[in-house]
Amino acid sequence: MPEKNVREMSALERRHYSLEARSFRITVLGAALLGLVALVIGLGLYTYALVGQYVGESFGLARSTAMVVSSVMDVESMTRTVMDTYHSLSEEERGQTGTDGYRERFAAVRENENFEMLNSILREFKNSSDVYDIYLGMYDREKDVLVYIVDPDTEDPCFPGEWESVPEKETEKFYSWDGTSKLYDISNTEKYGWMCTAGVPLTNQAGEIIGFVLADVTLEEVAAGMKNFVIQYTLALSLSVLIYAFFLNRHIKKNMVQPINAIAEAAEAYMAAKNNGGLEKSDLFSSLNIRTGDEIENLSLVMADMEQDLHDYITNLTTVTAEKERIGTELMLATKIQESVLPNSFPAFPELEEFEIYASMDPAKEVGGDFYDFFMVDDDHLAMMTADVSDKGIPAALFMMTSRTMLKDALLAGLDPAGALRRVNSQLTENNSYYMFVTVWIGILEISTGKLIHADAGHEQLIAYHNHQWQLLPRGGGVALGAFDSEMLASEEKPVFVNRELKMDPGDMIFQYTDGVPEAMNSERRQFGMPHLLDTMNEIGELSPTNLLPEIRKRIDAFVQDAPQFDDITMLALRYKGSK
Amino acid sequence: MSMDLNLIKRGTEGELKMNGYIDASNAAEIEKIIVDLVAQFDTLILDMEKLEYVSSAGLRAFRHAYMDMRQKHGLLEAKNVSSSVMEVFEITGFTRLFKFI
Repeated sequence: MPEKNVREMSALERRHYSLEARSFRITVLGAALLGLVALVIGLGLYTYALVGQYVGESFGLARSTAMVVSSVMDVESMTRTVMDTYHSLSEEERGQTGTDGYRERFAAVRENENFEMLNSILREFKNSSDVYDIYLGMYDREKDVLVYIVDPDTEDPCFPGEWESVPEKETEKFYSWDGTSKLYDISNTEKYGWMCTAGVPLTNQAGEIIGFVLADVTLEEVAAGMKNFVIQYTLALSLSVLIYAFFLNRHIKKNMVQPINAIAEAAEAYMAAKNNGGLEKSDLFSSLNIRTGDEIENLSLVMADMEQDLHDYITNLTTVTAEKERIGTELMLATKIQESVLPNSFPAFPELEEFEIYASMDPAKEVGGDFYDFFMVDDDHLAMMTADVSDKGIPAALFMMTSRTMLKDALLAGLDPAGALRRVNSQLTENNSYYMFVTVWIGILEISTGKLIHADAGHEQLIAYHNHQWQLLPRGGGVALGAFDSEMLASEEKPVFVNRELKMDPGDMIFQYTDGVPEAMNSERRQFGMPHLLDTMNEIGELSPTNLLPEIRKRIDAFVQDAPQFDDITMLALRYKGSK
Repeated sequence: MSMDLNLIKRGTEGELKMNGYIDASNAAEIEKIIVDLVAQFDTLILDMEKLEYVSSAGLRAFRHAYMDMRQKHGLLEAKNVSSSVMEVFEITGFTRLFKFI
């Protein structure tokens, strides 16, 4: 696992860790390893078979020779002569083996009548086979030494009595032969190199071993054969590994690496297209046409599906976004329309000097449920109202428009405030399956006298300025319009909507508002509150309506601070200046 | 939600303990819950001891519950109403909706 992730790698590192490079390495390495194992096994089998053949050959020869020799002559006297002489020598004298003087001590053997005959038999056997040498010898078990009795070799003959050290295992093996298996020993000596010595013991009538017919086969040829084998095998193996790796790699590349790279490239192209803002339909994955029939094909199909889904999703999202924008635009227009139905050019009646009126409405959402209105009913009467529709948003705005129109109609028809509320309540409850309702305050000022008739439908208390003092006036006691139908209200003894009268002196003022004012909330969920409102107003004291409303709003904002406005805030103020 | 509701069932009578406030932000959700309860019980008692505040949107929820209850001739009761909430009921005339116990 590389330490860096693939995006941090250089081109060279990417190449190194690429699927193609890795699959190539794994293929070559795997094939080479497999070849190596095969080489070791092959070499073992080859050597075993060849050595077995040499052993069999030399042992067979030794046995045939032994049979011939023991059947035609008596070798016991010869070996005894040699061995007796050998044993009679001192260590020092034995050490002179190979010298003429040493050989002279054993000259008697050569005079044995059988010596030359045995020598020629052995030579015959030797010449008729591939063995290195075949000879008669006897082991000195004590010293692990082989003493030559008769050696027919002509090039480098060993004379009777001459000896050579042999490995201890050889001596032991040869003396403890079971008589059935092939008796041989393989050893590596400086003089002869790799050599296999096979042999058969000769025994006298008493069953004592009197000597060994030994056949030496050199294994240098086997070693050379092995070397050739390894060279040839390695060459053949390398070639086949390369060919194998080439084809396997080509297969992996074609069926795995290239399809995966194609998918990755398609994904990169897809991201690039999307980052460039391309929203048009693409077929980067579906045009890949990977036909491997495996997980990779499945992956490409899944990616193609995903591309399609994403496209559909983006298309859908675009539509939804457009729809949202459309709704947003419509909401903005609705807000504009709603604002435009409220009288909002001030001073409202510049030609009339008997009073001054000012009003404002700030919706919490785009379109609010609050409204105010004022208009002249006739030359001497000014009608005013503030109202608060339950709920907010478009439904509230629709309800507000309806109720405002109904109220204005009723007032223009000459009804007094309580009468107008009664009529509109029954109109609104006729078909109000959404349980919406509106609280309303209506006042009608008789300009010539300063008499204010007002009534409310579950609305906030009127606040009036009189004798340099702002104070709350008692409520009329009506119910919110639209909430209770006439049937429900019919059973009540007291009239529901009641007119109240307020005599305004010149300089007196009234202030009307919706619950958004006293219930304005700060981030600790504390409300502005009625007592606080009244105190605030008395702090402000006498101020013209045009300045009063922004001042109150300023105080509310100071209280609320950064908490979001969650209800519409509507205010209306009137100052009576007296008739001319 | 800015409101915790706990229902105690007593057969055909249910008592809903309201803890929090109702304004435009949660009124629709609470309206649905109360209307569902009206459908389940013959008598629904609203325990308003911990109800701090009801906006006009919240009143609409009670109004809806009342209309449904009236249709099935059931009873909508209110108890432990705090003075501030009671004031809202009184101002708007919504005291008519409940039998106060």
